Order: sequence, then C-alpha cells, then structure tokens
Amino acid sequence: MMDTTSKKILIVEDEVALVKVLVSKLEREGWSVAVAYNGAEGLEMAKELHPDLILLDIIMPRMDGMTMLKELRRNGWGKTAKVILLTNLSDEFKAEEAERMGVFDYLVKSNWKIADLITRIRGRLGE
Amino acid sequence: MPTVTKNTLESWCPAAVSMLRDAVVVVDRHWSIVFTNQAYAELSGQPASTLEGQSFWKSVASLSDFYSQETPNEVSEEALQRLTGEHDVRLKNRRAIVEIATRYVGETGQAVILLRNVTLERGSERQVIERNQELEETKRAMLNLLEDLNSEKEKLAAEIAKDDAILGSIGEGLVVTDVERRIQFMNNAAEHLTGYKFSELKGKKWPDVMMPRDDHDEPVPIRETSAYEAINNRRRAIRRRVYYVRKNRSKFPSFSTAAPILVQDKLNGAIVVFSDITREAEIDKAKTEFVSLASHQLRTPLSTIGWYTEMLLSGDAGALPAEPTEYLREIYQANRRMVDLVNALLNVSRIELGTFAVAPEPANYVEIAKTVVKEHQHDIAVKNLKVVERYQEIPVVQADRNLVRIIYQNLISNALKYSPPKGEVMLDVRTAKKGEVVGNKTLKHDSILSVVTDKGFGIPEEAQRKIFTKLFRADNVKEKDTTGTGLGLYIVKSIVDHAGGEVWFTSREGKGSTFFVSLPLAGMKRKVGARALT
Repeated sequence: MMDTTSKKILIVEDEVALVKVLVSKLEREGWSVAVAYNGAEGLEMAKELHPDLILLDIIMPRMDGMTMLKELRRNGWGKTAKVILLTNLSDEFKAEEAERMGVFDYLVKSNWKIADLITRIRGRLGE
Repeated sequence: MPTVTKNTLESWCPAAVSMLRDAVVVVDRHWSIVFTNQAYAELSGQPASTLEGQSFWKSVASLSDFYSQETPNEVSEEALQRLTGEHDVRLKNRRAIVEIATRYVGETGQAVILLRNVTLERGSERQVIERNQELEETKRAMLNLLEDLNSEKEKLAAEIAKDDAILGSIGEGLVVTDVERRIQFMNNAAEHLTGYKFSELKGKKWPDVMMPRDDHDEPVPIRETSAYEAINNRRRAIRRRVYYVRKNRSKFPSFSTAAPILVQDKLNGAIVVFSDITREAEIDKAKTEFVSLASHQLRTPLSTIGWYTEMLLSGDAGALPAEPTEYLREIYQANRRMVDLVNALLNVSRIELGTFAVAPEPANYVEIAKTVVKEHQHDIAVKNLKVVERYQEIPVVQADRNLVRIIYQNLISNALKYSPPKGEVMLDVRTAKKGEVVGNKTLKHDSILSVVTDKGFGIPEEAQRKIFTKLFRADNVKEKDTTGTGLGLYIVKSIVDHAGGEVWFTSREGKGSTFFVSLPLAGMKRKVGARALT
C-alpha cells in the first residue's frame, strides 16, 4: 500500500536490479513507490494510483513505454500526469515525440548518477 | 681437210704443246727440266730458256713442301703419284693453286708434268662457296631474327592478352585519361559499372560524365576529385568514398582513387580506379547497427553497476571501512569509463551511419565551454592543474548545443588528461575573421574560434597524420594513460566537418599541443537524423 501523505512515484521498468536500487533510493527520500514491470501493467496502475510522477522506461515487453505514454494521454487524468522517461535508448525521434506529449525529461540511465536523478525528481515534484 | 699422219703429229706436237694454256714440263730421271712450254714459263715467272736444265723443284719453289723438305732424287711412279693433284704453290711473288697431272715415261726415265693454274677458278669457286656460306649465314641470321621477332611478337601478344585479361577481369573499374581528363581507355568493369560503352565516352571529360557526389548527394568540388588531384599534384590521390551516377541514373557508392601517369617525368594523364562498394556499405551499415544495438544493451548493466556502487559509496548500506570504499571507487571509475566508451561507440556508429542529427538552436559557446570546464573540476583539482580561460564576448548563434558541448568535452578532457600534474591548460574562445591566419591555417569563414592549449606530452610527429583516425592513440600516451578510447578526436573531427567547420592542431612531443576549432559564425545548418549524439 502506498503511503497517502507522501508523494507517490510509479516506476515502470522491466530490469529487476534497477527497480530494486531505485525503490531503495526513492523510499529513502521518503517517497512512496509502486512498481510495474511492463507498459500494460504500468498503464493499469497509473490509472488506479494516480501517482505524482511516473519514471518510465521505453524498451519493455508487452507494451513499450512510448505506447504506454500515448495511452496514458488519452485518459482524463493521464493527460497531465508527470512523466520522466528513463531509458538507455538515445533516440532523438522518440525524445521529440515525448516532447509533443508533454514529457521534457528524456534521460539516459547510464549517463545519470542516481543522486542527480533524485535532484531532478525532486524538481519535477516541485519540492 | 688435210690428212693427219703420225709424222705430222710429231712435228706439230711441240708447236701444239707450246700453244697449250696448260703448263707442260718434261723432266729427266733426275728432275732436270728437259722441256717447258710458254705457259710454264709464265706460271713460274722465268723465261723458258733459263728453265731448261734447272731442277723442277727449284722452278716451283714451294712444291717441295709436299715432300717434307725431302724432294725425291729420282723420278719414280710413286713420286709422281704424290705430285698429282691440286697444290697450293708459291710462285714468284704470288701464290697460286695448281692442278698437276703427271705421266711417267718408264723406258726413258722421263716424266711429263702438266700444271694448270686453277687459282681463279678455285678462287671464284671458293668465293662462291664463301659467298654461299655468307648467304647461308645471313639467311640463318635472318631466320633467327625472324624467329626472335616472332617469339617477341608472340610474347608481346601474350603480354597484351594478359594485360587485356587482367584489365578485363579485374572487378575494379579502370579509366585512363589524358591530362585534360579526357577518357582514353575504359576496361570492361568500368563499362559495366557505369553502364556506358567506351565508344560512347571516348574523348569526353571523365568528371563531366561521372561527376562524383558526396554523402549528401552534392557534387564533389572539382579540386577535390581524385583525378584532379592526381593530375595537378602529380601524386597518387588518397582513396575517397564517393557516389557515382550510372547511365540509367541509378547511384552506387564507390571508393575512387587516381594516380598520375608519368613517363620519364612527363605527365601523360591519369588512371582512375573505382569500384562498386554497395555490398561493403551494406555490411558496414549492418555492423554499425549491431554496435548501436549492442551499446544500448550494454548500458543497462552499466547503469545497474553504477547506481549500486553509488549507493554503497553514499553509505546507503551502512558506512564502509576505508579500504572497501577505495575499491568501490575504482569500480565506479571503471564503470564511468565504460559508460563513456559505450557513448563514444554509439556516437561513432551514428556518425558512420550518417544518422546523427544537427539541431540548431540559439547557442552561447562561452556558456557551454564554461559548463564543460566546471564539469571537470574534479580532474583539475586531483592533478592540481591551472586552467586559464579567456572568453571574448561572442554573439549567440544558431548551433547544436550538444555538438558544441561534445567538442569542448573532448578537447578539454584531452588537454587535462595529457597535462603533467601542476600543468597549465588554456582555453580561448573568440571570433575570428575570414582570411585570418591561426595556427598556420587561413580561416575560410568568419568563425567562432576555440583554442585549447596544453603543455603536456605532445603528439609525436609520426602520429600527427593519424591523430583524427578512429581508434588511433599515439604510442607516447598509450603508455602513460590507459583510459583513452581513441575515439574522441575522431568524433570531434566528424562533428566539425558535419557542421561546416575545421579542426587542426600544432604540437611538439614533450612540449604540448594546441587544438583549434573553427565553427561558422553564421551558425550550423539543420540536419535531420534519427539520433542525436550523446
């Protein structure tokens, strides 16, 4: 169960080891964390939990991150949901597509220190 | 007709003998001359009157040679026998060939010797023989000569056939031009590759027919074509990748090279060799795509290692003793290097795929340079380096900020990496006018000029030519620094070329290097590509 008082973050990522370290780090920061391991699952959980921020991977089984983002933007709440794309794919087209869907953070995981990532998340959460 | 009797014969005989053209000598049993005719007197060169009573052997001096200095004392059948035949004799003042016939008159002991001078006949005969021999020899020589000529001709024909076969069968297109670059010869492959027959192109200018094009389908400036370079610089032009358009307007990628034809230092034209590298290009593309895919896959475990190490180092799993912390730092640094390498590989693969984008937006070069220097504060502090930054106020131009950042990132990190501890690095960013000479180079455009100077290892002279080559690292730095990838300057050069600028350097081993980058003050042109460089 997510803590109702703290900010809620949904991680949509299929790489278990990365999920583990992210969960640990984010919880240490005092945020509530939920995890989905593919886009389809992530979409369901987002609709249900209305997280304050979604950390979204792109290459995933069942439904990829870009498709999930498109689906999310159809939904009333999802239209304005805050999303950070956290991927290892450098693709300018996808970054531009994400911008058109209101996502301005397109981060390459391996280039980001986790500490800097936390700072960015904090910024997006308006903290 | 008068009747001839024995008597008349006897009375005529001396007269007849005296009229004979053959020399006649009658000797007694002791070889004393009893009778000679006029012909003998002429042959021996003595008057007939003095000959009578003389020894026959003395009258024809050298005849005695045949008897090995022992002239027989008496006439005998045997002695006459030996005298009979052809002899080479020495007469008064001359040599002659005489044919000798003898008759022994047994009952009187006398002998009749008949000598005929056959010198002329034999001479001409010999001459004829000699002439014949000469002719034979000439004939033989002529035949030999003909034979030699034939065999040379055959050899030549074989050589020509071989050359034709080689030129015909090599896969590379080969075109021979004169100094005006007019086509003089094309091999089968050239006909096949271009779709033109030699007969269609003979005498036409090669660049007019097959104008090479670059990656962006722009015609290659004439001065940069290999044929031009070979003819004007009289040296083999470096191999370059171009596109040619066939007769049917289809395009193919090609490697083209050219060499001047110099005959005794006189320029006769050029040979252009080119090939269709469509397949190689496809393989290259597949390879590059593979690298790109593999690099993306590599980033995931690298992220995992990086983030976990970072967590451990930040004490998230409890404080660690100094030693394990030190080891973790090593792991973390190695991981960073790996991330950098993967990024560099990805950039290279994009550069080679031609898929990297140029997205101009308002860019402040000075701000970007400052940020990059700031990002290196850690390295600067560790080596106790001094960085002198000189920034002129320069206008904001339309440029891809990310590309500018990659240029500064590589040049500055190189300067820091190759500086000795407590060394000095200078960074100078300013505008420069077209025509200004900077670092031995004349600027082609009004530019934003960035100059990075270090007083480090410098680049050995033999390595300077290769410094922008992919994966190249000079020996002197390979020994001292193991972290470089050999990709940085290649990436810088590719970006600068792509953005219409220039990069060059001056360097002395042991003294340091200065790198110059000029980027157009007019800004960069937009280029759509699938992927931005990272």
